[in-house]
Amino acid sequence: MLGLSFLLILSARTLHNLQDLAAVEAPQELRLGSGDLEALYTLNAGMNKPAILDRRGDALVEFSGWNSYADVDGVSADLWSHGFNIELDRQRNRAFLTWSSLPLRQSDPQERRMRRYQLEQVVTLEGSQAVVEYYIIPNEPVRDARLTVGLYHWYYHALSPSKDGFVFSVTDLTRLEAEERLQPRRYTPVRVRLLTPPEGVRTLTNEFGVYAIESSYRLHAPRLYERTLIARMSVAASGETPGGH
Amino acid sequence: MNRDPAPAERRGGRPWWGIPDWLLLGLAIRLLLVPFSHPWDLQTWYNVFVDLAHNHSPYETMRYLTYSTRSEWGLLPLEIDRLFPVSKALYYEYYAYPPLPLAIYYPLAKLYALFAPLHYQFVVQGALAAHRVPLLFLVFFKAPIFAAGVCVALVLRRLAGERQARTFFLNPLVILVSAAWTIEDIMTAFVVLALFLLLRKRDGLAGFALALGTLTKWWPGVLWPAAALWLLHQRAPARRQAAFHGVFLLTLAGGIIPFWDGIRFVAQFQALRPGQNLTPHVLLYLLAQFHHLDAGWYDYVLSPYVGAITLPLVLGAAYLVQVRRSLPLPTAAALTVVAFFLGSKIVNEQYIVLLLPLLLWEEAERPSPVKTFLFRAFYALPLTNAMLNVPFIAFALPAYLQFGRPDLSAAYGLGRAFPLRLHAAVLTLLAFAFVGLLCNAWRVLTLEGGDETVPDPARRSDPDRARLELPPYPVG
Repeated sequence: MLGLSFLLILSARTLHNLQDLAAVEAPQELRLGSGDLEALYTLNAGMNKPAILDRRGDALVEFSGWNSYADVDGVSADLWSHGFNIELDRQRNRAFLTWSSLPLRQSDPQERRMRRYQLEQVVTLEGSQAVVEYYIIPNEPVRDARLTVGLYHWYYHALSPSKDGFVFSVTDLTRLEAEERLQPRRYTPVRVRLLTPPEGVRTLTNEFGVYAIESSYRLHAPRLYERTLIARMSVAASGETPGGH
Repeated sequence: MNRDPAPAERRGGRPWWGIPDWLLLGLAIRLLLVPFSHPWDLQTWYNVFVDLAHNHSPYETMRYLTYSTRSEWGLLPLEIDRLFPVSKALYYEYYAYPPLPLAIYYPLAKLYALFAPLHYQFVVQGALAAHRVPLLFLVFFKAPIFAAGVCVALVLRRLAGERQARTFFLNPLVILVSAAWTIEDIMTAFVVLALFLLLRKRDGLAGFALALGTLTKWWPGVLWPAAALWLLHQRAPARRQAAFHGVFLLTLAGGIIPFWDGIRFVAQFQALRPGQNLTPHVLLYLLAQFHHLDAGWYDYVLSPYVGAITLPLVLGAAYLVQVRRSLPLPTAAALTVVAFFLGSKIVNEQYIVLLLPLLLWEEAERPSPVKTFLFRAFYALPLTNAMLNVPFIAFALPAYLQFGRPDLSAAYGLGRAFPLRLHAAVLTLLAFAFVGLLCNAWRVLTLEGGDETVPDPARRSDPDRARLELPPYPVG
């Protein structure tokens, strides 16, 4: 009887799990994390893939879809042009975002419409640090893959290079407020470490200052069907300091 | 060739340190088959070694890869406002077993790491796992399985006689699973040992062994109620029954609780897994031919739902039979295992390995042509299915990759993975050699033992068996 009862409980649990398969509303944005850092994903636009926010909601840095590029064997496209899907592992504070070289598939990969490659971004929030990794998964032989990651912030304040990346300060100003040159109420020092040595780094500047830092990574002949790390970086915030009015 | 097993045994049966020749032959064939493996399962076990060597939980790795897979496969149709998240039911098929094999392989992984580097090698879910894995790893991985297979044969010899033990150890399905697939022999060893100890009235130890079997692969747990009912029918004293159940439950709890988080995750995987392989449950998929629904609905909704009903139903019926009738232990165990096969949504070919010693034991106790036929059918069907479904050429791939790496093209299956005819020809030769080795054991057995449907009169006077024909528990 005990064994039978156990099986019945197991069956009931299975039926309960099936509720997870009910159709759900497609969200417009997703948020991960509730501690020191939060990752914000905007689903209907090419920005915020993701934006890393601190506990006050100030954006430390924004991983851009519009201004990040994949160049695979000479064919270049920004990440927003790719089909994408996000899965959140909330228990482990991890987010998995995959871009596919073909727009959304409707069935399994044994069908003829094969995605040539996929790019996967894994964001892990660990206390006051976010680790961001990019992997490439070739579904066909790929000779040369290049990824350019666009890190946006309007605007980088007190930007300076560090040993393995750069440091800057984040303010509480919006882009418009910054362009009106208003005085921030607080500063938060941020350190970005490029844990995979980039092939190149360049800054994008306008009359108000530096608003983007692009780092490029290159990989030769990644293994077919396997996830190969192409770039790894971390974003860490330390304690904020008050600003003057 | 001699059709009388007793003189054959006297002349050459134990040529080396008293070890039976069939045991040496079976081990030799297993050793020859070490380079052959099921590609996906080989990937799993190799990466389990990587995890263990780095003190990382394979359950956590499975969780990570599962979310990664869902993001790779999932659908997010932004142009409509509703979606059917089939991806939520997707799991990366990695280590979804109970924790005992981790304890068994932990020291081996640490030892192996002293000799060779270990790096993760994963392909995306569903792709061809064509990894070149060092031969030394295969030896480390398969050594406990071979030892467990020997253990099953030796216990079976005590239970059912030499002939049945030999029939088990040289059976081609058993050799296939043991030498080229996965850890079924380890689970089977614990279960057969548990039944043996039950007969010897070592109830606590029997509970311990059955719990170890359940902590190796989940499903031997279905034998717990069968053993409980058998003890009741034997009128075993309450103290002994309590010892069996208490030790079983405590051991199980002791194995599960430290890994509870990971086990919850793999339990969800098992619950939502689509039905497959040697089960009547696959008939459900025939329905898909008459509907226009997405196949995912059958895989991830209908299949687990039906499986959740059929398994308790069929197992419940088997237990009910055992409540009403006092069955001998091998009969009760075999009936329960067959009921599991009939009700479970998943019956992989290797599961059958547990049933074979039970059937051989049953056949030795109460021989009949029907039971002989059932034994043959129960190994021939999964063996054929494995050869056609895996297929057999895939087992040869890891062996082939020991010598060279073919230029894999963009394909998920083997068919398009070998653009060069030379690669395909060499692989095919290896694959046929693999099948030939499997069948050779069976041929030797047939030549030595003659028609195995003929009951061996000498076996009936086997002193080992005589010792095991124990009186029932005293009443009261």
